[in-house]
Amino acid sequence: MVNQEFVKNIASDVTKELFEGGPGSGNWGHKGRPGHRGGSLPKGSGGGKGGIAAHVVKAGVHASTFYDKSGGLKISEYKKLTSNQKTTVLKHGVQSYKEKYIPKAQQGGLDAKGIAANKKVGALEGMRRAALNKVKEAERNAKVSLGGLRDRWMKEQRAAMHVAISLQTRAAQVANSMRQGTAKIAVASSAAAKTAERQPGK
Amino acid sequence: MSILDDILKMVDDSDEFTEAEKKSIKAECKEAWEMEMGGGE
Repeated sequence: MVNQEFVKNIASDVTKELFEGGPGSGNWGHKGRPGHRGGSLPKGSGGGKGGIAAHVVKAGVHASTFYDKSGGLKISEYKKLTSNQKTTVLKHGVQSYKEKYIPKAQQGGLDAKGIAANKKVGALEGMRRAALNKVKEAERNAKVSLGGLRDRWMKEQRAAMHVAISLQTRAAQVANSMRQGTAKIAVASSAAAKTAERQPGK
Repeated sequence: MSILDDILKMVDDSDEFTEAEKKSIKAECKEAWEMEMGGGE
């Protein structure tokens, strides 16, 4: 007989893992994922709460207002900002993102489609990490450059951050579709448990 | 090779996406990049 509590616990663990992160998830304990392209996040790109709260674009306007619910940048409003304001908005976008890849050891609740989607999330987040490493590289170059060259590196820094946001938005969309699939599996498991409980002999 | 070229190559080299998905991801990355660089890259 299937233990309903056991099934509930598994569903709860999977949900927790997907929505909040946990042991083995992309953001648990460290920001690196050995073996995945892009490597660890560069120093300073993490999502410390103090840093995110400080992302004020101008008086009374926080950087988060330039993002929609799915994490996509509101382009028409973003385009009206100055270069410095854009940098603040982009920094907020990359620092507030939480990785959604589920490591192999935690993929028990995923079906074949979920596993395929999770691989796409991993690939996109790997590329995002690579873009963020380029952000740090451009930032370092800007610090030791002057005049037009400095401006050029600062532009590249923003461009790489914008690319990272594009990749993370896509990863979040894929992860969302994966979550919906997993929710179906959790519902099916729960229904199976209830059936088993009603028919203990089977 | 520019930062954008590096990322586009990663998309091309990935085994996880269909050709249509790769095209779409690359177009989004290129658009994001050009919005900041002014299309001059």
